[in-house]
Amino acid sequence: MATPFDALGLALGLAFLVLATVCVMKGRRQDDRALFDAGWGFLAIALLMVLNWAGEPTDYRYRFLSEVQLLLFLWSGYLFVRFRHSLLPLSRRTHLLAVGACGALSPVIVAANLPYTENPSLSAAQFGLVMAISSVWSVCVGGVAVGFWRQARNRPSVQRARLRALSIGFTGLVVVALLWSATARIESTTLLLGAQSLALGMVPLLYVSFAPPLWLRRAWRDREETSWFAAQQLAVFHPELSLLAEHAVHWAQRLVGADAAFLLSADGEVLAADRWDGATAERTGREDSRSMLEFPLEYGEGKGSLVVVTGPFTPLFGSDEIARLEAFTSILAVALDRVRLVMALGHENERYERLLQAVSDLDEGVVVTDQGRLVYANEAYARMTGYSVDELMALPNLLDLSLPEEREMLTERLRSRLAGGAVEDHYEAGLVHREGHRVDTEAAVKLIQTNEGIRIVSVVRDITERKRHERQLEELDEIKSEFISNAAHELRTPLTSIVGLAATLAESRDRLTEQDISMCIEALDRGAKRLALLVNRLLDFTQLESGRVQVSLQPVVLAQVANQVMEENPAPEDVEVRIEIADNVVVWADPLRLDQVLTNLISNAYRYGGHEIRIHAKREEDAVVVDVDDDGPGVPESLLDSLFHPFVRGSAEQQGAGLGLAIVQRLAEAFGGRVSYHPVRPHGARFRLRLRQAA
Amino acid sequence: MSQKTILVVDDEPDIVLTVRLTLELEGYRVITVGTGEDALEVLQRETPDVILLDLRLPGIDGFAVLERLPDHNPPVIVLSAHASGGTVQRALEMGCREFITKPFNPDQLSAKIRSILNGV
Repeated sequence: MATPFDALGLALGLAFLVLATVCVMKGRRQDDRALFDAGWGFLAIALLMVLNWAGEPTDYRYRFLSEVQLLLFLWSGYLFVRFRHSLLPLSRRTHLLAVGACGALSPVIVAANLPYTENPSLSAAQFGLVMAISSVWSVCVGGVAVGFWRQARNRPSVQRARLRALSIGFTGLVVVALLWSATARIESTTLLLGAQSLALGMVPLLYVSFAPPLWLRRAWRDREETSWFAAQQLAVFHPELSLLAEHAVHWAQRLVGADAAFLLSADGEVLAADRWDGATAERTGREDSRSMLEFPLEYGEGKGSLVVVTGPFTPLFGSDEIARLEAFTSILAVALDRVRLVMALGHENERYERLLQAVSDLDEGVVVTDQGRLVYANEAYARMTGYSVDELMALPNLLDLSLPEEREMLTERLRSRLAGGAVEDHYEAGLVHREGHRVDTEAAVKLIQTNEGIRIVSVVRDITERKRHERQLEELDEIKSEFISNAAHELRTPLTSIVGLAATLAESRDRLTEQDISMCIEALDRGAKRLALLVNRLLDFTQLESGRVQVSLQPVVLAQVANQVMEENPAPEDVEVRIEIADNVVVWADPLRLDQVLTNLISNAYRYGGHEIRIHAKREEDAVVVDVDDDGPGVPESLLDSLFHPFVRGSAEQQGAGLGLAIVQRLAEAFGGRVSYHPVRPHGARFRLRLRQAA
Repeated sequence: MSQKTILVVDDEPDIVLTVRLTLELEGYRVITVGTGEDALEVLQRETPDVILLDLRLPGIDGFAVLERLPDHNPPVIVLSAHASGGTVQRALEMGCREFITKPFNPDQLSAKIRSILNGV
């Protein structure tokens, strides 16, 4: 009785019993239907083995038990199909087919009345039944093996290893079943022994695939470890938060053969998720939290977490895996903090750059110096100096750009500032532009402490324009006082003769000759007239200067105005005036003011010119050029520059106010034209009035 | 007492007329010129007792004339419409004895001339 077969059979039975118990208990603990089904399948096989060992060939119970054994065997195949179904759902048809096959064979087993002896000789029909049973079982269990093998593809290597172990285990069982059924026909102890040994060998394989020990889980993980290490290094130094988070969850998931993983920020936002899809979410939501493992992640101001979701193919999730993931999480927290800081620094830099750009856009120069050497200059400063930023950076000392006469002062300021002395933060200084001209600047200076030492930041503004305006205003002020002084002088001259002559006449008329008296009266008359003229011209001029004179521009027939002027100002006896103006020449002007302009020019010609005066007009595109020519001596060289300035007179003996040409110039400009002087060869003066032509 | 001679340098004919009449009525001999150059030329042959000098003249101006008078002799009275402090100061520094601003009262002019002639 104590054959090696019996011993092997018992060992086999006990081994399957242990496997079944592990599966059922684990299934109970994890509320996992798949494990339950597998457990029941293994239990059926274990029972079969135990009954085989306990039974006696001649015993009637044996007969009963043998039929029970065959039924157990057949239906264990169905239980494995169910096991597979709960992990990898099968179609309803396949499911029904399995149930149908087992259901159809069950009554045949009972009815077949198979001989149960030590060495049975089976009829062809009986052998056929045995083959049918083993075929149905093999198809069922083989399907499980194939299903798992195929499923192993495209899975993380840990899951893949586990699925392959399962697949190999079930394949082994199929081979055993086939060998066993073969022993029904072929009598061979070797075959039987081989089948039993193989079956025994499959048990640990199946066992480890359901409850892998630490060493095996590590072995499975080994493939991932190498790349995981590299990935971890990469992840830690990854510059971007979202990519870092993606890497982190991907590798956390792969390392332990989990189904999915995701990373939650402190405010519960999902930073990254890997393999987290609707199906996983639904399953996780249906099941309790035992399939989700949360690892707290302390970084920044809050506490996020790394969540790993285990799935049906995830091997045992032991303390080793938890320790690995905890270690990974701490590294991850540091990496996340680092990335956050790097990003914050980047933003800070960006803000700083933008600020500097904005300052530069406003044409405010910004320079940073270290011991006088430039370490930063913006575009505005470069524009101000005419150098490029690169050229500026190459300068040995920024003082090289300063005005030579100011260098000592600036050096002293710098020395005093660095020594902590009280120095005005704000000062004005000149720069030498690349093209050699002076640029006036004002600068605001601050010291800043950097990692590399003390730096000086200066904001520099170009005030050349402002300075120029200030100088212009000063010049204008001078012109104004000179004008007033000139005006006073001009008024005093006729006043002097009027006051003096009036007094003389009043006090000493009886002591004067008749000739003296008439000279006095004539002089008085001239003085009074000149005074009146001067006052009128002064008023005119000041109003023109201040822009208070309104000119109403309209088309004016030039010839009409010229003729009118000639009537009002007839030529002296020895002067001949020729007017050459076509009747259809029309200009834009204020008629009364144009009269004033021509009167001034003609009076000047009478006063300073010779004996022939010619007034000539010609059209030039949209302008009309009016020339007033005389054949006098022309304007002396010394007066040319100031000819149109107020109080410039050809000669003191002439009774002008010195304002005529100044007024002409301002009126011509008010008409949108201009006046200019051109000497005439061999002698003579030409005053050229350029006016806008009216259609 | 011999007749005193006064040289009048001014380019404004009506002012020259006014001064001339005033001074002739006082009994002075009056020489009039219109430019600085003419004044210097007259001074080559004449020795007036007083010079009445306008500052703004065509050609060389009154200051230039003042500059060319050795030892501030004869005494000079400046007659000018330029009454700014700077001008007066400059003229006095260059040796003119009196500064009369235009317009002036003929009596005032006569009084100044008298005081200079008596003081000398």
